[in-house]
Amino acid sequence: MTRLKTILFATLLPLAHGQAVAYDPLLEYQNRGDHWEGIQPRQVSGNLDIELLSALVDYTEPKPGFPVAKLLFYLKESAQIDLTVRELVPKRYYVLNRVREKETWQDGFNPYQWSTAEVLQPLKLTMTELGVIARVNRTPNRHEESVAPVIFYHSQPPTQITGYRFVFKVGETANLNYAIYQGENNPKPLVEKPLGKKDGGQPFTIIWECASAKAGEYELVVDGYSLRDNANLHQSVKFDHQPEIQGKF
Amino acid sequence: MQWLLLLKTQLISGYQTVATWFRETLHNLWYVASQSFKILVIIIVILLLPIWLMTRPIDTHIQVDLVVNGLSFRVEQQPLEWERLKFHSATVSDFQQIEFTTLENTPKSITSKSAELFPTVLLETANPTTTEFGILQDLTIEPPAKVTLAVEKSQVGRETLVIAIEEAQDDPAARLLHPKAFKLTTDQCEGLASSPLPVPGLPRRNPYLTVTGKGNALKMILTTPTLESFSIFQKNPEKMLVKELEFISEDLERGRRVAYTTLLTEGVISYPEYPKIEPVTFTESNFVWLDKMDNFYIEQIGFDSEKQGLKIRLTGEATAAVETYPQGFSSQRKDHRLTMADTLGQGSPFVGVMLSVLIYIIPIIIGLVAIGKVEIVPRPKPQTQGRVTRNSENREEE
Repeated sequence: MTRLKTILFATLLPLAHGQAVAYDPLLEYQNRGDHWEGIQPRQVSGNLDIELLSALVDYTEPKPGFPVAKLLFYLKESAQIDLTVRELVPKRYYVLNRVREKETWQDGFNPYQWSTAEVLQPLKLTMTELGVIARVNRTPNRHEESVAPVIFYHSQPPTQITGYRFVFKVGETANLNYAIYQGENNPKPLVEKPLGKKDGGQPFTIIWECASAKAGEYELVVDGYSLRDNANLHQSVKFDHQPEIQGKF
Repeated sequence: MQWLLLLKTQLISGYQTVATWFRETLHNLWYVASQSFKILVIIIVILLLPIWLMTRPIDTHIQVDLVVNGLSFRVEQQPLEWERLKFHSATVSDFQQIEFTTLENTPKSITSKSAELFPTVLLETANPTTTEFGILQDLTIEPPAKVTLAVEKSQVGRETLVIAIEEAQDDPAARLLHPKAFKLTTDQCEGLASSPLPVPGLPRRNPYLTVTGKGNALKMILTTPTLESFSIFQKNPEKMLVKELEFISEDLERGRRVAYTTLLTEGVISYPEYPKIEPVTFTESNFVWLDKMDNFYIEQIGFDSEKQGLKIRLTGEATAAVETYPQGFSSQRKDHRLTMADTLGQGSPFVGVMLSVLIYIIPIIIGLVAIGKVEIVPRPKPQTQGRVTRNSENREEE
């Protein structure tokens, strides 16, 4: 198995990356204390549906360097979180997950940070190449996700949340739309826009400017139909919006 | 004339020599025969175990390609996730509840009456076209549920896919995506004010009907909207591990249960580790029996529009008999696992040739050594002192 990983690492990585990264067994996916992190080649699942790749607060720090990567997310009530960081376009097959497994995260804003020296820096990965999802009480139903949008930063988090950045991809070329709803049963969307034709396997981003949105429950619905067979596609992402960031991080 | 006399003398001498040789050989025939027989017995005894070992079926990695109109299996290890399956109508039975929200945001729930009454719900797309249909999705089958799939012709000549889940750990649940208009017809159910009930569509935020099974089972019959081929399960990188695979359908004939093979076309068993070994083919009249305890991976399963059946590719290690036999001729069972003799030398031509040579050479060498060195049958004791051969003894007798 180790040999296979070595071969995969040695062959896939330079090809995908365009520049060789020396093989280092320390970069392999492994337990790193309170999380698992490293190179983990994953096969294409063949899933034709809409897939959520990242749910972030729309926030970018001016300085690109990041010795420590930090996450901050809001929970309305305590819950178990399935936190995943991976590349939006897999090139180096980086993944971080299994963060504080079996632990319950507290209500309010939850911080988390990890050193980038072990894996991210040797792989020369930047924050903009990474997607983060904090799934709340994960259910087997992958068409209805419940997430806590994550502030992904390295120095100073914002004081206010003014927008969200959701990244999806669709398994096959499709014509898509999106809508954002407030509250649990409100049938009238706050925002409703066409996304147009989206190519299969290519990530696309939905940005919601929410400076004037009230705190509370929201739902992003992405739907449409496959251009191959007209099959309906539907993906919903529920999240809590808390514009004021309380506490010092 | 002298040369004629010499020739005559030579001929007489030669004749006498040959005659003597024949006489002696005939005289020793019993000795030679018994010697040869005993050598043969020794060779057979020595080679019996290697031959038995070489010709008994061994655990074999096989690949089975079949087109059937039905199969059943039990899910092992990992849950199976369905591919999106399009339908124009869905008949649901063995269910407990069907829930959905109307366009007016009113939650609706259809519950089944007692199972003895065979409650069913029929969901039909209002305007069935190539762009308007429902989709079965979010159906996950957890181990150790038993799954039965069958393709049947409906009364209107359309293909229907029968999906039956039994012996699940919990009640199975599925979601049907249907944003467009449809009609619900219930039988022996509660919860709808009228039946059939036209539903103009489902809300964008929740365009699903959630179906919950009953008694750890769920059954659905879907009428497919098109005749195109489609995949049934999501392609899993780690493949789908199943066991208790069966390709039979049962019927009652004069009160007796009769099994029929579900094969629709010729089946193929091939040996991926030994590509030079010819795949085994068998006609659609054959039963295929895989051992119930053997685990097989479903590499591919889908509806084949050309053959009007389910196209399946299985791979796995057959540790017990993989048998086929024509329907009604169970005495003609054939185990299609390989033997060691089949596999030896498949990887290397050198080893193959060497083994072929040794197979002939070893018995010949054993025979020669035995004839030359081993006195298996006690030779007649010499009458005179010193070493006397049987031939010389015979000559003395003469």
